[in-house]
Amino acid sequence: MAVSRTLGWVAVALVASGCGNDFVPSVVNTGTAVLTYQAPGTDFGSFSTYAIVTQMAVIDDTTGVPVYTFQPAPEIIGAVERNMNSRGFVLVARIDPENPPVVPVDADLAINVSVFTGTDYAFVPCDYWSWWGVPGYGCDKPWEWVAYRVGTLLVEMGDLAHPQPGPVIPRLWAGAGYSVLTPENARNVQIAVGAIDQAFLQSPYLVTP
Amino acid sequence: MTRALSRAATFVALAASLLAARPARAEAYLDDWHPYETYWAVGWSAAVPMTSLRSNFISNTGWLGGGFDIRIGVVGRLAVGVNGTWNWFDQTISSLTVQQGQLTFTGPVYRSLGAFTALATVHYYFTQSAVQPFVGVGLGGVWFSTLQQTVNRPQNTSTSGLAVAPEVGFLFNVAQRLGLYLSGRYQFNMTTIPGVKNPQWACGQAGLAYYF
Repeated sequence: MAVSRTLGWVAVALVASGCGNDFVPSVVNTGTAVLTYQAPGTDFGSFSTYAIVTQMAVIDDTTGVPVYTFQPAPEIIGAVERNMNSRGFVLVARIDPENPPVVPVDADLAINVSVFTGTDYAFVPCDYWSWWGVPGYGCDKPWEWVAYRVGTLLVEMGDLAHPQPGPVIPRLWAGAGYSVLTPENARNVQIAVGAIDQAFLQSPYLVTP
Repeated sequence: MTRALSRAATFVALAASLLAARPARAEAYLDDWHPYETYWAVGWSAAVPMTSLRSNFISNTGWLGGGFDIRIGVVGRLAVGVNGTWNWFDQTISSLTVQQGQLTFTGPVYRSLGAFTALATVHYYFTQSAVQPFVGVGLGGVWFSTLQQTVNRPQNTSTSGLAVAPEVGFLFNVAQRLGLYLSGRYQFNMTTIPGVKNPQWACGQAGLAYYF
């Protein structure tokens, strides 16, 4: 009788301890990582030229309302250009995102660079601008919205070669570097450049003859 | 010299007596007097992932696991019964590239796999001695839940399928109606989890059994 009672308690303990829990390490939640998105069915070989911003948009959502400013980021934008050029794309225009032209320039692709510096989780809003500037090239293409973190660098590529009705520029590709531009990270620029290189490395389809 | 020889002889005799020792009153499971005895056991199960489960999803040993067995003798030293086993695997990979639909991700990845297996079992005990070697096989169902998390993007899946699990082991009769078991089990699961067809693992199992 005593033995069966003991066995019963052992069984209860086993069941109680048996519920597996996921303890996701902080390195997964807060570590540096690179995410890329490719619009379905896009043939990047059909594009040959691109335009890129001269400044990086800085998005601070600390107050709950995103505040956009711009700052030069020559190493980061240079890394995007270096990768694009090595894939065969030709740079034809540089755009100041603070004072963009009224109509899109004559290029196949538009590239925007931005970073999230807010302390809260932020989501890229769907309130696209007319054709340039802060993130959000419209929502007509499938786009799985992801939660960005503080220090997330976002490189977006829009389709200028196939104008859409209305102020919409379809997003063809995006690369997000998580936690690569955090204020406390002294090597942030190098990490950001490494994230851009990784974004292109894991996008071998991003090439034109 | 004589004293040394005497000490050596004593040591050899003691070792021999330990090796030849049998529990004084321990009875074997399914002995001639109890052919229809029931067997109740709980124990620990540690599992080592194999084949594509190891190469494509998780390579870490799942140290967390446990299960129970209920058996009853039916004829000779043959017993039929049921088994429930739960195994848990998890692993953090520092950098991995994974595809998630239109998204490609490179960075640290956390993966976990929980499996609950319910089997109908048949076991045969070769002897009626203090140490009873046995073989068995189980057939039943398995239920999986998996998690793959990249940054703040968890991906959960769950699935189920058939499971086949042959087993070999030893039952050590240590006291009246009480035994300790040690066994190895291979489990083949007929289902698919992300990136893995027919996940398989080998388990080491140990526990306490009571029979009456």
